[in-house]
Amino acid sequence: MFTPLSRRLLIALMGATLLPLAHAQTAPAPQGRVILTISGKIGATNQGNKMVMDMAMLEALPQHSFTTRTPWYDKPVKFTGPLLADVLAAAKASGTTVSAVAINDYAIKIPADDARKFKVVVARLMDDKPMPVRDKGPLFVVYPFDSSADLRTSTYYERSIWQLKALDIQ
Amino acid sequence: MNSEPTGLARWQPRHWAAAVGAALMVTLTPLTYIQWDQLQTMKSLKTNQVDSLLWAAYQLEREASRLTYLLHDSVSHPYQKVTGDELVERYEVFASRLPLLTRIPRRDLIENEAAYTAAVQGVTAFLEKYDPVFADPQALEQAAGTRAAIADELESLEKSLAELTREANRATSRFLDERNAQLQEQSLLVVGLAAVQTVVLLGFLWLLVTHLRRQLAQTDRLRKLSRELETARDVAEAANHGKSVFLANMSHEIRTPFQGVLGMLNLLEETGLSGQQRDYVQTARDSAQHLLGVLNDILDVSTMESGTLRLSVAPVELRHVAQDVEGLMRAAAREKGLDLAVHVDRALPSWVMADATRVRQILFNLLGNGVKFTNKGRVQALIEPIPSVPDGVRITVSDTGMGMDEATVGQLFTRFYQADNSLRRRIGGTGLGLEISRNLARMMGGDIEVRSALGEGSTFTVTLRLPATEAPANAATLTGDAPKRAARRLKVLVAEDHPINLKYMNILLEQMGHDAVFCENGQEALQLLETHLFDVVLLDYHMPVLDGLATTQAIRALPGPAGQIKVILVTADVVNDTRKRAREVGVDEFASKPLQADDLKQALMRCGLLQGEDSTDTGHADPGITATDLPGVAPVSLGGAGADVEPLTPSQWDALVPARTADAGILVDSESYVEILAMMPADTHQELLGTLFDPPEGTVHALMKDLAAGDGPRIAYNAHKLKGTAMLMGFRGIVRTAQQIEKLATDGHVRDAQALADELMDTSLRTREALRDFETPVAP
Repeated sequence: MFTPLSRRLLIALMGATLLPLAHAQTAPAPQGRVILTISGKIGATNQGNKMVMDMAMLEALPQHSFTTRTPWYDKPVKFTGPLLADVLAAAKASGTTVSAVAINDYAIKIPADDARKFKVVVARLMDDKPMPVRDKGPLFVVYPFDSSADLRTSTYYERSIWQLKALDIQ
Repeated sequence: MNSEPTGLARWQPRHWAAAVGAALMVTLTPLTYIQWDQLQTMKSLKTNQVDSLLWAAYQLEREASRLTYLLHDSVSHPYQKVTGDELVERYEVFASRLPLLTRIPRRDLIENEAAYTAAVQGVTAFLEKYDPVFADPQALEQAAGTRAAIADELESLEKSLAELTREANRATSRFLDERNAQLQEQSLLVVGLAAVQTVVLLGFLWLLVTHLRRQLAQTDRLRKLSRELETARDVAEAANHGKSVFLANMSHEIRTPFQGVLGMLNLLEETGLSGQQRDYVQTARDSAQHLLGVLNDILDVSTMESGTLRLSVAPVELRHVAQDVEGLMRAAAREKGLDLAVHVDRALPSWVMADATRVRQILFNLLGNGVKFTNKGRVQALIEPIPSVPDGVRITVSDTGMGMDEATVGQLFTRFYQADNSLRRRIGGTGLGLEISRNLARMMGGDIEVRSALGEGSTFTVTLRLPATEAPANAATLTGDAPKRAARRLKVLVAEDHPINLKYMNILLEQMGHDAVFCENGQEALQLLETHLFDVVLLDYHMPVLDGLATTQAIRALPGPAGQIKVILVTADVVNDTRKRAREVGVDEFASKPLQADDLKQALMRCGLLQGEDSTDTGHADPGITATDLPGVAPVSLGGAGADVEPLTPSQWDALVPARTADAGILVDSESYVEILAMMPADTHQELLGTLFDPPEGTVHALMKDLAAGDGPRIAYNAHKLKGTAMLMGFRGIVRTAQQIEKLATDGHVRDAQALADELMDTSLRTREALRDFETPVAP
């Protein structure tokens, strides 16, 4: 069904599509259950053109903690986890916007700049305890609201997405 | 017209500040509160997102639907593998939505609704029931029947969840309505408060405008008042000035006849008076002298007040001034048994620029006071330079008198104040003396201070600024008391209507060695000037027919040398305006009235008619033409040409006085006679005595002859003539007798007059006898 020419063309086409992949580094594959999928403009992959991560991989990144007041809890809460910037760096993300998606398909666009400007954390521990899905887990993007009044606006409250499951870099 | 400010007009700036502040507080505080409240509300809206209530209810409902859908899917499409993990995850997501709703900050908006309670209880029960089931994903994967049952149960919940969403929507609407109502209420409140504030501020504005208007009106009134006051002050000052001028003129007018009264009293005393009469005359004369002093003081004060008093500054030898005053005060001091000492410091410059009359006046006043108020001890004056002050001269007058307490010292320089009221009658004085002295001292750049304690005497310190000067070339002529014979015999025309002054001036001019022709008024003076040559005219300021100024004007209008004659105006008027006017009409010089020899002499010198004389007065005078050479003019000159007679020194005076015999004292007034002796050369004197006593032409002999003949009119004429000459010479005895004879003859009692012939002869002989006492010390 394929002519030699068409086969050759196909190979060429495949080569062309694979060319970027040749540059992408192959990251280590997750051992446990995948809880975060990163796609889009990234330089590191470990599952097709995506980068998937389990809790252990996130835990392996440098951990940061801060305690802040939030609209969702009556008391200040301590959040612990890797910086969003470090997570994006792990996937060698190069886009300007991160489209974050939750388990319930809630999606919000976070400018990549936010990760540079603020100490945005992808929290995996709340008050030093893992977060179940029932309680906004397993991952929760949190801005350090107490550090600046500019952050205490609906814009940043909206960007604080919980039950995070995927990041699409655009 | 202007009442006390009332109400707002009385408000001080701090009242205004407080009122405006209070008004702003009342209106702005609620406004601020409302704004703050709104800010807080917005803040809470930001953090407690109310809309999330609706969102949470909707999400719960939606997740229930998705879970139901997935469960149904897993049952009805077994070939599409739905894993247990997927089911669990969906279940957990659903479960996670419940606390979001129950723990939402504004759940109070919905908590009490039945729909909420039903939905939450339903979901909670569902979760409690199936949590164990979803805890085991593998078992769930196998149990399709369980999944169907769960789906059914979940579907039955969805109705209440949908109701919950609607209720959440209603609650959110209610909240928004409530918030809207709150905002509206607040807006209304803000508008109301703004209105109140506007009203209050407008009120204040109105008050302020009213206040300002009232103040402007008040300022206008004040300005008007101030203008009126200024006018009133000008009027008052003009009136005061007018009064001062009037007072000065009146004092002058009173003073002139007063000189007459004094002169006449003096003459009266010389007549044959009984002891009691003499006492009366003495009292009258003392009173008159006191009155004259008062008049002089008033004149001084009024000229000071009218601002017309000017100091006439000339080189003055202070030592002489001091000696003058000392000489004048000596008699009074001696009478009270006081020591009087005037000491002039050697360091004092001999000549200073000063108004001698005024310096003398100050010194006289202070020494006079000292003598008046001291009963025992001494009065002394020290005149010395003040080294620390340029041109400074200090005169210290101290006494050992009664002294004064502090209150008295404080009021001492006040007008009409006298140290002791009870003394007023005894001691007299106007109470103006110190005020005058102080004003004079101040005009001389100094002041007077007083230091006194009760019973310890008083010390008055006068400081003056009198610049030192060179002795003038004609120094000798400017000092000395005794009138000196003129170096040049002048032909003087005197216009003087007052008989006493005429007499006085007659004697004075004789003493000075000039020839005088008298007339009664300006008109006569003009007629004489047209026909005769004179060196100088003395015009009285006040004269009938033609007064001094009018006469001067007429003289200046005369043709030829007569119009160029020197005119000296004799006036008591010290008001400088008068002098200015006089200068304008052509008056050359002034002499004060009563005329003083010194004063007249200086006036003549200033006219260039006399040269400065040597103090020795060796008389190189040109005899000139006497008045007798002038036909038709009565010869009045009694004095001869310049001769070598020196004025008597005080010591010579003292030498003369003890020489008087008791008889001489009655017959001859030694003072008058010594004066006559002093001012006449010996030969003239002898000649004068000859006109009285020498037979057959002597007046005494002529009268004796008339008495013998019984010729009434002749007796009266010669008796009058004898009386006049005797009065001039101070022959009291002859004056008395001649007066009696004249009176009797005039009254027609010739026989009675004749009876006095012997007495006349006797008196004249005894008078001549008495005169011998005076001759020895006078002879050179």
